Amino acid sequence: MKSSSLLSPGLVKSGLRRYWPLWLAGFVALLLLVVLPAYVSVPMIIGEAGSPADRESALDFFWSTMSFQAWIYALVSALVVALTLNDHLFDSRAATFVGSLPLRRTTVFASTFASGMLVLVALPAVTSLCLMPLCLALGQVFSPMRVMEWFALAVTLGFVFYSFAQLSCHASGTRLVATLIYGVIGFLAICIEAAARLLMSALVYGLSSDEIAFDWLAPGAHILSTLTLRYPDRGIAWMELAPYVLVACSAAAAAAWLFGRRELESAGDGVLFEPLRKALKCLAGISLALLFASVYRLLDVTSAFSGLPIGTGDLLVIAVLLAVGAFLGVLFADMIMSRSTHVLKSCWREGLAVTCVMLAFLGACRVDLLRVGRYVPKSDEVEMVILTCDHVSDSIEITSPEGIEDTRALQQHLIDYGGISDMKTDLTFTIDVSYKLKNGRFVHRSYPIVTNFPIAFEGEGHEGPDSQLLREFAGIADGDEGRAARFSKVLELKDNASVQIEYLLEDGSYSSVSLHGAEATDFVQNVLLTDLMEERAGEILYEMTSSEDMAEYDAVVYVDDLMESKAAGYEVYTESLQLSEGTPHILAWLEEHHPEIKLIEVDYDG
Amino acid sequence: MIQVSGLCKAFGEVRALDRLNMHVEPGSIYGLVGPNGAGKTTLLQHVAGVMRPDAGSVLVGGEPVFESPQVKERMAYVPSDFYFFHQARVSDMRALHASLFPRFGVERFDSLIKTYELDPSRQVRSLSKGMQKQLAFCLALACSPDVLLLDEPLDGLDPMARHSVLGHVMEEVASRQMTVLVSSHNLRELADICDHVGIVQEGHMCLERSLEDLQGGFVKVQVAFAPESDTVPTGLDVLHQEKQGRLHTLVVRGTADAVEGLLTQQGATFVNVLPLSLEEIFIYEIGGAQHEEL
Repeated sequence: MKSSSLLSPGLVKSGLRRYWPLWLAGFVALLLLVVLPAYVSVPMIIGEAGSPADRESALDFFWSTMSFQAWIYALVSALVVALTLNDHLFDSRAATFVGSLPLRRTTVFASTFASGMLVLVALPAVTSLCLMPLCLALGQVFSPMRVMEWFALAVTLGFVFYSFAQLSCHASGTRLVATLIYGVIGFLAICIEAAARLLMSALVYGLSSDEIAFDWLAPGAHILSTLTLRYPDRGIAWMELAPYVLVACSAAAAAAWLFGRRELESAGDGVLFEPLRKALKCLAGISLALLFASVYRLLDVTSAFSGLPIGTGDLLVIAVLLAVGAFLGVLFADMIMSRSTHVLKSCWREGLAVTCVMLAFLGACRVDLLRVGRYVPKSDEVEMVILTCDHVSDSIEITSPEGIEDTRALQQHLIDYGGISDMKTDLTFTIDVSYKLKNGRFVHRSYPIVTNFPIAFEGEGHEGPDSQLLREFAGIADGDEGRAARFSKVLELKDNASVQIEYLLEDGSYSSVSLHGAEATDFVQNVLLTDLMEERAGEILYEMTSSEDMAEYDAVVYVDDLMESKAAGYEVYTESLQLSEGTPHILAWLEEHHPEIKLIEVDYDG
Repeated sequence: MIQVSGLCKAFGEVRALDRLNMHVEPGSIYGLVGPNGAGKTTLLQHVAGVMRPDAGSVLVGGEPVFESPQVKERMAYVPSDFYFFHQARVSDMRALHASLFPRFGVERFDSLIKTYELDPSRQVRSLSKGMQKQLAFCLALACSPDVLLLDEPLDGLDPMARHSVLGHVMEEVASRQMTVLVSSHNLRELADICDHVGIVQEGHMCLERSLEDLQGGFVKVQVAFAPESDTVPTGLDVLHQEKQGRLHTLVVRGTADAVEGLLTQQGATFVNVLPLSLEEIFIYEIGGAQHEEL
């Protein structure tokens, strides 16, 4: 080997060869996490899927799970590999040995880094190869491209976390402190990433984050949605990898810089750079505080605050968790770095300071200091709004000035309402408001509405803000544009389609008639859908589902189900269609064909 | 061969080396002695290029050694507690050294481990401490270094192995003019092999001389005087003195002839010059009689 070589093949080989049992264990972990589930689940998914769309959806979910597995694997394995291969940073004898070898520090660093990366590339590569027989067996259904995308994701995440781990190892002289630093760096990276995404949203897309302010305090909840890559229709978003690679390169460069400056004899020292000690304590406090705060979602304590205004329970719980986490974080970090448990006297002031900072941060989020949550675009900026409410309606596109103004008013009322959910109450609806602005940007907000179902729908005796907001949404959804969006599609019946009409007899029992072929088509397209399109099939949707006494309301079908099921090629089901003056086509048809029917349930089997 | 000038190194507030100077001639065997914590190992690690000096310079063959692979290729360092990679076998260490040291002789290594009956397929951690030390020597000598740095090289070796190891080192010195810098507490053995000695104390090089000069510069003498003048005469640079009855035992700086002549001249009734070991010189020179480990 030439003295000037950047890599020492001998050192690389030595690292790879010595720890082969560890690498084998890593491979076994990947077999269990990825290969085994793939061979078990994928054929099952394909076998059970009723339609290509269903199959795609299930496979998307499968790959999303695999992405999460890759994330967990990279997080853990990167640290293990770095701690293992960097003996010379933690053991003074190893430091002396490596220091006396005829190698430059850059060579030692590059060789160690390369050894680790080889492991972190080779194991996912072999795993991907193990998935190839499944691809060959299932053909295009289980695309090799998807496997390659998973491989790219695993390697990229491995690179990111390995760089973080190397940086952590080079900033400390013990494995414990290195692990602490790794945790802090990784955790903060996630927070910083979330912040960067929000900022980018604000600057580029016009504050398009759909996260409410409180989610900033729950980075644990962000992890899944932010660090696993999405699989859009045309494959992986390759460009999404670029920032991660850039961050990883920066972390690796910082680690190399630290190694060039550190004293080899410092192996065994807790923290090598004195300024890092205080910073690390504070960062550990912040990290643990945020981690604790994210736990509030798991705690069933908010019901204890049900008598208080909405969001108060969350606020109190988060404040306590933040304070405890901040103080403990500082305390533990000091213990680890000074290798002593007698640290309370020396660090209580720092603990208190970090606690105060975190509580101030909580206050800033609570009052929406950045005005992210309170942003409502001006009417003349808006080209179109897409309004959605889960459990109730599909997307409704609104372009009329009146509709846009109504939506803005609804959003303002939603903001005033609070937008913070007590997770354990009866039912949470989420209203999504997505503006497409005339300048091409998008603004997207989600607002949870907590209601006490079914009281909210009974109307009388309950006119709380939740009920009013839902009625306001229903008013927009039931307007001309909303109705057109909901009922614009016409069912295309197959030749062998049938419609089952169940009806209630006067004695309380049910009977039914079946329609086939042309008669079924005629009923659905010319009778049922006509009444729906002309707003003759009832009032607003949720009223139909809420009441024990259906006779109070006009009837309506489950339009959501009708549309979704049609797309999926499944059975279309409508329930409890109350005949009334509002359904003239149905009434006329039934009078002509089945005059005995008073209350029907319609099953369409497509 | 090795030139250390004004070397300073501090660990926090502790000054391990303080403007230390040292000069080692090519082909010489230089013994480094000093009490615990004097800075010997720190000095060796600087010469090995492990540590970065705070100030001063360390030149080997006229070139700075720190961050210089070219210089380190011609050196081998055997610390008191040699490090072997975890899980490594003897053959793994051979392969690593062969890939890093261009002058590493695989055949030479194999012949050396054969001498010590070391199995190349054995895991290093399964070897005894003494066998690991032997392996470290084998690796170092197989590198055919111009400079061999040894820190407490004979610790943990049985007498046979000590003899064998020292024999191999002496062979290299004789055949290739290899320079050896050795630090040891075992001054008797050091005296057997060294031709130069440096005494380090509190980070300073307080004495640096050839062994011959060193031993010629100190005299241990038993002397008795007449009862009426039973005091040690002035004019002697006495490092140590003891008295048993009328018999004085003195360790004095100076040559044997000069000291003997002076004592006779001062009325000594009995003068007997005794041989002085390196260990005694070390103890009396640094005033370190309290260093009981010696």
